[in-house]
Amino acid sequence: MRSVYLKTSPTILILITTILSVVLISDSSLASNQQKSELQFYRLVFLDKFMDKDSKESKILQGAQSLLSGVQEIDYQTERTIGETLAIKGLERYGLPVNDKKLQEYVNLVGTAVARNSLRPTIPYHFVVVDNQLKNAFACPGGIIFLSHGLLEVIENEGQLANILAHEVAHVQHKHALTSIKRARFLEGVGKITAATMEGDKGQEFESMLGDLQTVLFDKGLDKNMEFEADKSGMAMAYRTGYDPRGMIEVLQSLQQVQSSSKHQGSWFSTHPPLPQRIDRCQQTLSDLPDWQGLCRLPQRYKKYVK
Amino acid sequence: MKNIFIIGLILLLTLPLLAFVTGETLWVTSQGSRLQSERSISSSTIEVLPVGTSVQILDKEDRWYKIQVPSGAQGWMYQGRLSQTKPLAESKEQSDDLFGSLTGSQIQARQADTSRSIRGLSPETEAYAQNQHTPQRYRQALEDILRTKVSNKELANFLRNGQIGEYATN
Repeated sequence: MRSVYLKTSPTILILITTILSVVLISDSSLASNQQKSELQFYRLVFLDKFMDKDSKESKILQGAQSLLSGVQEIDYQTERTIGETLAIKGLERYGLPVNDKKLQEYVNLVGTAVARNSLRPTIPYHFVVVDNQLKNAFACPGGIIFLSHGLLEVIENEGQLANILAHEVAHVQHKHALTSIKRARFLEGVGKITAATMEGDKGQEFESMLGDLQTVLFDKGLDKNMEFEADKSGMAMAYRTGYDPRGMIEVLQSLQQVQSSSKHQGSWFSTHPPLPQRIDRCQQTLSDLPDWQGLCRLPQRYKKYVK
Repeated sequence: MKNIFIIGLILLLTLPLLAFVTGETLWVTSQGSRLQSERSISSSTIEVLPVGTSVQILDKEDRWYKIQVPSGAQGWMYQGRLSQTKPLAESKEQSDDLFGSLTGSQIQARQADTSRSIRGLSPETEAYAQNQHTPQRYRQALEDILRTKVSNKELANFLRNGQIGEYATN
C-alpha cells in the first residue's frame, strides 16, 4: 500500500500543481477589475449562498423549485388564456386604456426593450396604461402588463419606468401569479385549456381559479418573497438593457412619500410588501451591480410622452 | 516510461478543465443578438446568435464582452444580451429581419398553424367573454392591447435615439 502511494505521489503532485496553475492563470487572465468584480458578484451572491444547503437563500430556492414544478407543466397557450381572461377582469376593475396612442406606444417600447433582456425573451409582451388614479401595476400570466396612470404620475424619468416594467416582466418570467394558484382545482389534470373546458363543472372551476387570481393580484398581493425576487430580477433586467437600476429605488422612495395621502385598497400599497423593507433589499441589489453609473435615465423623453 | 504515460494522460484530462475555468460560460438572452467585429453596434456582423446559445467569455471592455461562439468565431457582444442563467426559449425565434415584430412572436404563428386566431383574443378567451356576457368595450380594449406591436426596427430606433445600451456613445 505504501509503495503504491509513493509511486503515485509525483503524479498527484503534478495534478495538484496543474490545477492550481490553471486557477491562477484564469484569475490573472480576466480582462479587468470590472470583470473580476462582476464575476465575484455572481459567484458570491448566487453560488455561495445557494450552494449552502442550510442558507435562507437555498431554502427559498428549493421551495420555489418545488412550487414551480407543477406550474412549469402548464403550456404557454393555457397560461396566455388565463392571462387574457384576467386582463378582461383587470380592465373591468381598473378601467379602460388611456386614450393616448403615443403614450401607449412609448410604454410598449420601454417595456419591450427590457422584456427582450428577460429570461423569457421569446413570448409576446403587451403593456397598457389604464385610466385610473390609483398607483398600481400588475402582470397577468403570459405577458399582459397593466400600469395605472396614477403610478405614471409618481415616476419622473424613463429609467424609473423601465425598472417598474422590468419588475412586472420579472413576475411573468418567474410565473409568480400561476405559482400562487397552483393548487387551484381547475389546474388538476388539465394540461391545456380548450373552449370546451370553459363550460360545465370545469367552467365553474375556471371561474373560481380566476377569482383566486384576482384576489392575489388586485387585493392581497403576491408572496413577499416573490416581490423581492421580482425587484432583484427587474433591476438586473433594466441594468442589462442599459437603464439606471437606481430607478427602482427612486420609485419606491417616491411611493413612500405619497403613501399617507394615497388610497390603499386595490393599489400598490395593499398588494406589495412594506416599502422600507423593499428599499433596503433593492439597495443591497444595487451595491452588488457593478458599473451602473452613467446608465440611462432620460427625464426629458419621459416628460414628452407622460403628461 | 509508465510515469510519462500517466503524466501525459493527466495533462490531457486537465485540458478541458483549463478551458472551463478560463472562459466563463454565459447564454444569449436577447432576440436578434449579433456577434460584432468590434465594440460597436455599427461594426460588421460576424454571426447572428439565437436565444439560448452558450458562449465563452474571453475578455470584457466597458460594457462589452469579447466572446467565442460555438462555431469558433470570436467577436463582441453588449453585456445586456448575455446572462448567467440559461433563458427559456418557448418559441422559435423570428428572423432577424429589422421589420419583424418583437411582440408578435412565433407563438402567434404557431397559433395560426393550429387554426387559432392570429390576432386578438384566443378562442378560449372569446368563449369565456361570451359566457360571462363581458361588455363589448372591454373585449375591444383587450383586442386593441393585443394588436399593439413593436417592430425590431422601431425598437432599434427607439434605443438609438435614447443612446441606450449598445447604442450608448460613451
